[in-house]
Parts: sequence; C-alpha cells; structure tokens
Amino acid sequence: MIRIAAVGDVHLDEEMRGHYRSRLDGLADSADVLLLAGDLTKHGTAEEGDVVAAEFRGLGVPVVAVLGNHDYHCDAQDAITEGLRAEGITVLEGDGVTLDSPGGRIGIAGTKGFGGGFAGKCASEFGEPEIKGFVRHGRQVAHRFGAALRDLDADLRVGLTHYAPVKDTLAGEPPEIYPFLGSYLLAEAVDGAKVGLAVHGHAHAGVECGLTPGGVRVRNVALPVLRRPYAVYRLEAVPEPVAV
Amino acid sequence: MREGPETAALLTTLKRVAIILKDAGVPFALSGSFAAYARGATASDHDVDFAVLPGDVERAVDALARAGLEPVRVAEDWLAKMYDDARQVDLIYRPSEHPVTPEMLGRAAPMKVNSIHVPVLDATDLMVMLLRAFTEHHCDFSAPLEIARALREQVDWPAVRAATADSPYAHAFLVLLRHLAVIGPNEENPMAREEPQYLAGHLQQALAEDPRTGALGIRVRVHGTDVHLSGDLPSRERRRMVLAVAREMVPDYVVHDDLSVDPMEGDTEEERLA
Ligand SMILES: [Fe+2]
Ligand SMILES: [Fe+2]
Repeated sequence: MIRIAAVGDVHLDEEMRGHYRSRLDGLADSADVLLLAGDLTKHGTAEEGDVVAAEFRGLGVPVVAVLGNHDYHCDAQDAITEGLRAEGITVLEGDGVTLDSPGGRIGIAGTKGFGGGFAGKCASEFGEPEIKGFVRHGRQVAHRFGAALRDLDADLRVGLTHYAPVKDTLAGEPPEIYPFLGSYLLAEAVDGAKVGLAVHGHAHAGVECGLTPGGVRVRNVALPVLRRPYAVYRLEAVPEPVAV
Repeated sequence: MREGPETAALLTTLKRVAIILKDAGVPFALSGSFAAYARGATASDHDVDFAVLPGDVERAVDALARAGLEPVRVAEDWLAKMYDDARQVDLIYRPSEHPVTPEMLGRAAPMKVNSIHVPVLDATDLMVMLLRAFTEHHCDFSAPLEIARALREQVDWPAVRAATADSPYAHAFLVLLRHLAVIGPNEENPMAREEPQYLAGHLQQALAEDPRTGALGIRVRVHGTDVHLSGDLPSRERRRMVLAVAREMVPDYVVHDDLSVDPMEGDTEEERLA
C-alpha cells in the first residue's frame, strides 16, 4: 500500500508563517509522500516562497510540488522554485520523480498545467495571437506532462497538476470560467499513461472527487475544498504496463 | 459670526488656556467645537477642548492649576477636566482609544482666534475625531453635521473614510452626508459610482487584485445597498482586511460579513482507493 498526502492552494504569506506547519505533526506517520498542488503563495513573491519553504521543509516525508498561477504572479517563479529546492522540496514542471516507499516505487509527474476548457467546449488555436498563445501554452504543458508520466518507471504513477484535468471536480464553480480552471488535455495525458491517481488544485469552490474519461481517480485537493490540512489517499501499487 | 455672552466668556477662557500652555511649552492644538469655530463653523456655548499628547497631560494640568484653574477628578481615561470659574476646559489625549500623536499636533495650523494665534487641529483630524466618537449611546448627528457642512472643503473625505472604516456609525454619517450632497460621490473611487449590476464583479476582482487582500475565492452578492461577502479566509486578520478593503471600495454600501475563517479545521482521515 502506498499513502499519498496532498494539498493545494495553501496561499501562504508572511502573516501565516508557522500556522500551516503546526498542522503537519502527524504527517510522517500517515503518509509516504506529500504532494503540493500549486498556488503555494498568495502573490508569488520570493519572500512568500521562503515562507512556503520554511513551512514544508524537513517534514520526515518527501515533499513534491508544482507551482500554481499565483506563484507566477510576480515573475518570481524561478526564485520560488530555487528556494523550495534549497530546502529539499522537489518542484516539477513537465518532468517527473520516482521515490522509494515501503509499499513500492512512487512515480510522480507534474506540471502547473493551464486552462483551455473541456472536450467540445474549448478554445482552439485560431484567430488572434492572444487566443492562439493561450491555447498553445495549454497544449505544450499537457504534452510535456504526458511524456513525463509515460517516462516514469514506478509501481504507482501519480499525476500532479495545479489546473484541473476534468470538469467533475469543478462542480460548484461557475461554468463560465471552466476554460480558466483546467484543460481536458491534462486528462488525456493521464489516461495515456496508466496512472493510479491525478491530483490537482486551483478550483477553490469545486469538489474533491472526480474521474477521468479513462477511469482514473481525480482529487481536487485545494485547501478550501478539503477543509482539512491535507488529504491522504491509500492506493495499491499498479504493475508496470507491458510494453507493446 | 454672532456670539452670545457665554461664547464670549468661553473665548476668554480659550485664550487664557492657550497662553498658559504656550508659556509652559506644552504642545497642544485647539480641538472640538472651538476648532470647528476657528475653521468657520458656528460658535459653541459648551466647553473648550484642547488636544495634548498623553505624556504631556500632567504637565498641562499642573501649569493650568498653577495659573488658577481648578482640576476636576474624572473617571474617563482619555481626557482631563478643569474649570476656569464655571467654564469647562477639556484636555483630550486619547479620544476613542486613539492617542493624540505628535504628527497630529504637527498638522495643526496656527489660526487667529479671539485676537491670538492658536494651533487648530487639522480639519480632517477633527472630523475623524468627531466621527470616531459616535457610539451606541452617543450618536446625535446634528452638531457634527453642522460642522461637516462648514468644514467640507477643508476636509480630506477619503482620508476620513479610511480612518473610520471600522465604525458603522461613521459609515452611516458619511452616507447621510452623501445623500444631503454635503460631500460628493466618492470621486477617487470609480467603483462607488458604478451600476449595481457590475459592482459585484468588479468588487470581486478588486479584492483578488488588491495586494492587501489577494482573496481570490470571495463571493460577492449585491442587493440594493447591501453587499454580502462570503468565502473562506485563512486567518481572522485577513478577514478583517477583506472587510476593511471592501468597505473602502464601496463606501456607500453596507458590507455584510458572511466570511468564514480557517479552512483547515477538519481532521485528516485517509481515503482508500481500491
Ligand atoms: Fe488558488
Ligand atoms: Fe490557482
């Protein structure tokens, strides 16, 4: 058995220093890894990034993160990433990591992801350059995410994004903003790689549970949705797919 | 300006106290209704108020007592009272829990009152002090209303609004001033003049984008002159800030707090995904 703890959208700043860490006491006993699903800071400043690094360092379990749109707000995403890495936190963007745990090797691929919308109701690379740029960015990150998932050599594969891969977990959000909350291309990447669990954040008003069209469990771990410091999911390792 | 005999006597007291404080080297500013009078409002026939620093109260009382004024024991911890014959002098140092500051006395402008120059509290500071003083048991708007009319061009109203944002009484008073056209619509704040059907959307965006709040998940509903905010915030401090910023952004609306704090209250329990 593998135990995955996850939370997103913690939106920390100086004012909240120490507040989150005080809720993480039992983490090492209850999980093999902690996933952070982006929007770790409030405004994306390097100073807020330092607060995140201090809250989540040295917890006794590996911590794997992706950034969210908020973490890009001040163009300090690289400084935030470096700060987290300096405290031993793995930050993924279009790549993956494999961790050993008593229950087997956990492979995690991650990306911030992007908007774009869901099958049948999404924008296409057509028209003004701004629209084309929007759609293209969503395609590129989903493409890299899929490749990173497929490259994982692990007993259990987990997809970690900030933006949502499915609509299921957006229930409660106004449908008008779905194209800004996620992209079905992320689900397509998940479904193409024998993934055991897809974790995302970003949809603060959504719900926790969903499913990709291919039947992979999706969990929206945005803190306002969880209403608890983190979620823990216990999974069976899924055997490697047979190469064909 | 017409002045009754009582006012004339109070002006004499005012002059006397000002000279004593000046000679004693105690920084002060004329406050209350006579500050308003100096700035153009109708004369008062009540008492004379001076603002002094909390650390200078004792020195001021001593100097005045030496000159023959009669100190009176008071229960309040924000002013000292003295009598010049039958005329009351208040030395105010911590009105409505806000201590008088050197900056505030620094903003006081020397003005001619009853043939001497006296530092007179800045019109904005005076207005803030008046509005903060409203409480459940003291919310007669008539005198402050008269003062607001007389001083309206000297007052920095957005600053008054900001400084009194946490007082529902001050808010009500400012709405009244706006409806009486004493003050104009909030010119520096375009949201105040907005059609209600756009207000919710713009307020929600402003709360997300304002660096003081950065609150992305706040829901805003507008009904008439009521604005309801709901959603989760990580701390009480943030909730206070969101409310203060919203009140500042839509000063002519009543902002209701349906926000909740601490989205981390739940226990972490495991979900088995078979
Ligand atoms: Fe978020
Ligand atoms: Fe987000």
